[in-house]
Amino acid sequence: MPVCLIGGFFFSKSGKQAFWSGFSSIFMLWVIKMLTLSLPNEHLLANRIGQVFMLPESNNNWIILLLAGAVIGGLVGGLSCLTGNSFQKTK
Amino acid sequence: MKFNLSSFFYLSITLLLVFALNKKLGSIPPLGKFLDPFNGFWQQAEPRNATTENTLQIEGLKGKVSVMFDENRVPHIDAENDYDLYFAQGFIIARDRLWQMDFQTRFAAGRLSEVIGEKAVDLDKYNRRMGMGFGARNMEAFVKKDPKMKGVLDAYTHGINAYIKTLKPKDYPIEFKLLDYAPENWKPINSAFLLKLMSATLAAASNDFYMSNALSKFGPEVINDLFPNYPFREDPIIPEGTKWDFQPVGKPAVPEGLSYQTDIKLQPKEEGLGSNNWAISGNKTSTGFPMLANDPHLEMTLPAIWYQNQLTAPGINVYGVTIPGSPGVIIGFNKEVAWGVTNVGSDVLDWYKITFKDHTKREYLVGKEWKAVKKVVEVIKVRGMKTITDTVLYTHHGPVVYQEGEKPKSFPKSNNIPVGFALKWIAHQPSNDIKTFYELNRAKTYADYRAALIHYVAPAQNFIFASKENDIGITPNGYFPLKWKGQGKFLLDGSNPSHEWKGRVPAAHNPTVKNPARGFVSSANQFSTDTTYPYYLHWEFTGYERGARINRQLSTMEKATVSDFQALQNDNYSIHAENIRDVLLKNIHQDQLNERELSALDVLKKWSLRYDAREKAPSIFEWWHKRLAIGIWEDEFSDEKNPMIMPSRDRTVELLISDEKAIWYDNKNTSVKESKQDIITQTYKATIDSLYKIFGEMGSSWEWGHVKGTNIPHLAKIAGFGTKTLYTGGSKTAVNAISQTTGPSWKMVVSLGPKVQAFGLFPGGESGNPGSFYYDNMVEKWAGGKLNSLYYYEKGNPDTKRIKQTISLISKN
Repeated sequence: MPVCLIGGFFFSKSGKQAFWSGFSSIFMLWVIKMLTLSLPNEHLLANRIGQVFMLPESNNNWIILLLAGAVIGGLVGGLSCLTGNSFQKTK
Repeated sequence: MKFNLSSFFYLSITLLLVFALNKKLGSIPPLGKFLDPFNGFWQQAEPRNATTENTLQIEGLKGKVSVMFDENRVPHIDAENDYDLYFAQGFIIARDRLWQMDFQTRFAAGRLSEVIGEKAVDLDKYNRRMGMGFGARNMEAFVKKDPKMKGVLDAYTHGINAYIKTLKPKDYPIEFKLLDYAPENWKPINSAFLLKLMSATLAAASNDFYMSNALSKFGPEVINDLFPNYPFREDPIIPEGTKWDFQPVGKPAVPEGLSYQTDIKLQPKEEGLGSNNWAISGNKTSTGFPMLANDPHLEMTLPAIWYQNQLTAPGINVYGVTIPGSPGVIIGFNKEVAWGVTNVGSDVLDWYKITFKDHTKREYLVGKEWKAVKKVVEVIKVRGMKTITDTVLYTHHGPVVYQEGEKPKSFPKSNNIPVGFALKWIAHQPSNDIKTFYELNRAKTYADYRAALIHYVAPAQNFIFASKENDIGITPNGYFPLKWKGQGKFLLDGSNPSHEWKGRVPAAHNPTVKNPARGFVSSANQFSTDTTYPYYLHWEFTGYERGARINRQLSTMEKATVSDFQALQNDNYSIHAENIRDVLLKNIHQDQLNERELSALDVLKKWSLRYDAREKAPSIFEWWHKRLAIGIWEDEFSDEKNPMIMPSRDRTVELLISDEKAIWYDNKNTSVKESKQDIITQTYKATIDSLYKIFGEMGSSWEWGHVKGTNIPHLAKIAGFGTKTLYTGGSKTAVNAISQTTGPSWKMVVSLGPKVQAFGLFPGGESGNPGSFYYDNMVEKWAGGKLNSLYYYEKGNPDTKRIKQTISLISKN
């Protein structure tokens, strides 16, 4: 979050652009890291965790967790960037 | 830089979101942290195959330890000295089961509220009031006086803590992340708590309160008839007719004016946890050397209750299962001997009515004197709430678990506890039980086995033994209080000194048998002895059905093999069904049955008496005989204000077989007088009706494998971390004692000889990580009745075909 606060302040042009660049960079980073960890595990754990969150037993729960997690991470990233951007003197 | 309204707004939203995502909301874990792939649950996703070599530098080790993992990830630990051995055992087991060890310790210590919050407060209070901490502290202090055992416990503790030290938050086991708390350092007393948990599970049964209520209602004649001190049918552990080679130290006399009256919905007596073990001498095996089998039955959970490991160091090379959190091997074998345990279940828990001097409760009466009460304040931290304190009054008997107004409203665990009574429990006694296992691990002969048993206090176990030297034996063993006959069957009077325990049965007088003429020994929680044993252990034990079946099968074995033992462990034949199936069929009013009921009856007629998964008859029989017992006894034995237990399965069988006109058949709640045939027929019809309602047409949905619904849940009941339903056979009255959530938590068969061979597995896996392929990898095989061949590592001679990964622990000095 602090990275994007500062980055958003110094580097972004508009609020919308700040948000989306923050969002997408975290989103992609997280998706790649999640897949790196989950694929060799054959999604065993992610599918179990899906059931912890009340999803029915399924071999595809991992997809939901991956997307939900990456979206949440992206949201925080995007908002930080947007916040940083909002501190800019001229818009 | 400008601060305007919008930047303030965005900053607030961001901070709020970050805050919310890092906070545990009710039972939802902090989402941001949890779903983050760099710190969250994804970190616990393990690949299928671990790397083959690994060297870890650890502070505190004296030398080098080699930890070899086989294809089931069982660690074979090879150390150069005892300290490093137990250090490594602690390190490795923490690596696999840290959260389980933490959670079970907290459970026993009454510290769950710290993590879970308010809903665990009643449970924490209960465990503290029952004196779990009192007992653990007594055990720790006593073990510390033994320098060798203190050394073992310390090394084990250091090993666990050395592992914890390597953890960063992203490495925490997943349940810590879900419940949002961190592991804390291990203390030696935690091992004591875990051993106390075993006592709480196996040696805390108490029907005294229910029995006193029943005595009040029915009087001594009926009670002696319906709750006799020895069952109608029995096959005792020490064979009938075995002579006792000691002079009994004295039979305490039954005090005058007995029968403690109490001023106080039927407890259907759920079968206690039990286990099987047996051993057969070399002249009945195909190898000429003894074989031994053990399968302890416990409430099955994941992570698995047991952990397999092998401990090798100068003077020791033992393989077997251990309890995570306690050093050594509890059930196992080495090159020369094999041993195992089943629960004795003797009466080591009694209640004493306390007569306080006045409302201040500072003194209580003993004989003609007033003794001082000790007030103990328990401090219970509760997550999300203020810390609470709970004051418990202690007498020389033990703690007064609940006074008036203290018993929680809806807390089933406390149902059997009488209010205003002090608890006298063997688990409070100082003991050095781990010394028994330490010595068994190193035993070479029968004499070693007998010497090891002396230290053992609780929970009393039927220790079975076999040696390469062709000795077999069994000893119901532990601290047995010296009691008068029937002492503790009912509630006792805390002000009457003659009601107290009079010391103990000398350890050397514990019942035992060595190399009996029949060529085998066995136990399945039934009565320890016949009626000639001079000491009183208990008035009730588990039913004889499993023990009798085991003995029946063993007596016909010639040139027995491992397969024969495996088949016996999987045996679904029920002597209980044998005892009453035909009696029930004979007494049913067939003319009152409709077509559905008649065809189900036909299934029952043709039944093999085996609780096989594919059979429908077991479903019918099981529901029926339980309903029948309730039908016979409930009208007389249920009373919400003064709860009772109903007579045992054995007594019910005796009734059905030999009593045509007993008053008990009649249902007091109806104006009609029911006969034996009536109650049998009514309960049958109700059973068939229920089965149709729940399972539909009498087809595959009625199969016992489906109806029984065996499954293994997670220790903290976390959804997704348990198993699905398992299709298995078995029954509590068959050797294969699988029920809905209880069953053989470890199955082992050992064949001794020049080269020991062993087989075994448990329903779970070595790893406690739900993200590991070794979390539940043995469950399916277990459900299929199979066993793994166990790898017994010989020092300095590793089998490279079986070892998949080696971790070297070296000293960081």
